[in-house]
Amino acid sequence: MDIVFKINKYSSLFKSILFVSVKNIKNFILKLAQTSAFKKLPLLVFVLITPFLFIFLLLLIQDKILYIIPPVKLNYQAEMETLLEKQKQKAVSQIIYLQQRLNAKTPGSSYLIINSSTNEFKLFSGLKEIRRGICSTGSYVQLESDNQKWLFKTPKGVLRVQGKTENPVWIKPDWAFIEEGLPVPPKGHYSRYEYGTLGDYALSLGNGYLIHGTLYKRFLGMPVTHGCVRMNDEDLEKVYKSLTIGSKVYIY
Amino acid sequence: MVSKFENTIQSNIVKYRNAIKYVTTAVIVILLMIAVLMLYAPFSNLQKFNKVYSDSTLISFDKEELLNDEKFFELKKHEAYLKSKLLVAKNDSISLSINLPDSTISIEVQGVLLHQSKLTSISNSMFFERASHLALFNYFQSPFKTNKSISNIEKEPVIYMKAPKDTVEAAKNQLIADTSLAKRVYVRIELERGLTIILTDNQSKWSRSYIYNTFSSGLLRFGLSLRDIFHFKVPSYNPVIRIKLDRNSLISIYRAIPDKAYVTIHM
Repeated sequence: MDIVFKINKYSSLFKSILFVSVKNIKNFILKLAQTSAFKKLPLLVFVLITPFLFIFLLLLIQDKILYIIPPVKLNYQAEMETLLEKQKQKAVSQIIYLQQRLNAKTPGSSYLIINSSTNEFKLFSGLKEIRRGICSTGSYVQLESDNQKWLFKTPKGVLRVQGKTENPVWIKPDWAFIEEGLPVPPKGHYSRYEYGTLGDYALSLGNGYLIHGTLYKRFLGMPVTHGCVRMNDEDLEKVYKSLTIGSKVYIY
Repeated sequence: MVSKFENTIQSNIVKYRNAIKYVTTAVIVILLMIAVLMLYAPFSNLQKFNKVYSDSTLISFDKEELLNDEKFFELKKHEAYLKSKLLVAKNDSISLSINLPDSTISIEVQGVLLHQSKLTSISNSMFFERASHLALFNYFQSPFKTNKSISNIEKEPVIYMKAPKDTVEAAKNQLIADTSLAKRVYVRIELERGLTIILTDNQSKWSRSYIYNTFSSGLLRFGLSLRDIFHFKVPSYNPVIRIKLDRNSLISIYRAIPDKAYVTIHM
């Protein structure tokens, strides 16, 4: 009973404080609205924005403030002239040597460079570009079934041609059925074999990734594949005939 | 009763006005202090930079004064750049090369040039123009490793798709194009040894994420400076190289380079 009485007493006290506070705040705001301070709202906004402007101005000046100090005066003694000429010649020959060493890193035989962001390819023979064109690479779609997931991405890095096939047959993997909402047939089932879809030639890059032709030529230049690289018939033929087993394929 | 209340309000307003005056004065003093320290930072860092990288034992020729000859300095920088590229070529991963005198940016793997693009604009911090030749030569003569790279586009634009239940649902699944190509691209690469490279495309179109990244990087820089100031240290200052290039090239380069890519710079 005593506790109930205390609770009632404190709650009424709290209510009265709250009432007075609300009333006071309301009065204060009304009074403030009549004063010039309220009319200075744009000034308040300015005060709030100024620190940010200050920060960015400061960062801008910070990057350029070193302009006020003079650049380092470059002096060297005249007797160094002969030494300087010698060193210059040495540097030039060193540059030529280093450039040659760098050029030697480029394969002498044919190789292929694929840009998976713009879906373009360039075929080189040594330092000479022999063909360029559009292709299709991985769509970056991640297909998720109840217990498995596949990321349709073209692998990046340095790969090598591991095999070459004419009139390739596509052996459809499980995801090809799952993606189409079809039941997955057992391994070796006739429905897994598809003829003509990969074009006239295929070059294997390992792990099931191929460079092959396509029936969907309107999608060339777009990221639509399941990780393989698709090309049109003419480009594919040129690439097939230029690259040998072991040729390098650079994908980025 | 009313007049007493009014008096209280009046005295409160006076108090608030005084408080605002004091707070404003204090804020202005603090901001001025921050400004002075932040503007002092480049000078202090330049001094430190010139001291740390002025080790003449790192150069292969006897007289370091020779670097004061502009032509010789250019040749030595080119030589150092090629040496860096050869060093990085030993690595199997894709590296980034920025050649500022030639205004080109390229990606390479094992020394093979994969992609090259022309830079449409280059803007460097004044820091590089005021540093000593010897320090600059030593600073840029070895490749940089990336600490962190930030961008407003995804490194891998993955599209998540649930397997369709039947052929009807599968037919509804349409091809979704990569929309990241539609917005202005911003890439910020933070390298070791305190160097930052900001790459943007040369489009004039602005996007919310581009503005966000530009402002957030500014705020980040300011925040780091504040942290140093509150620890009674001269704020750190990292010189920046800002470059602009074709949008497709920028996207290709950003998506090609690994997270901890090596970067070689010909200054």
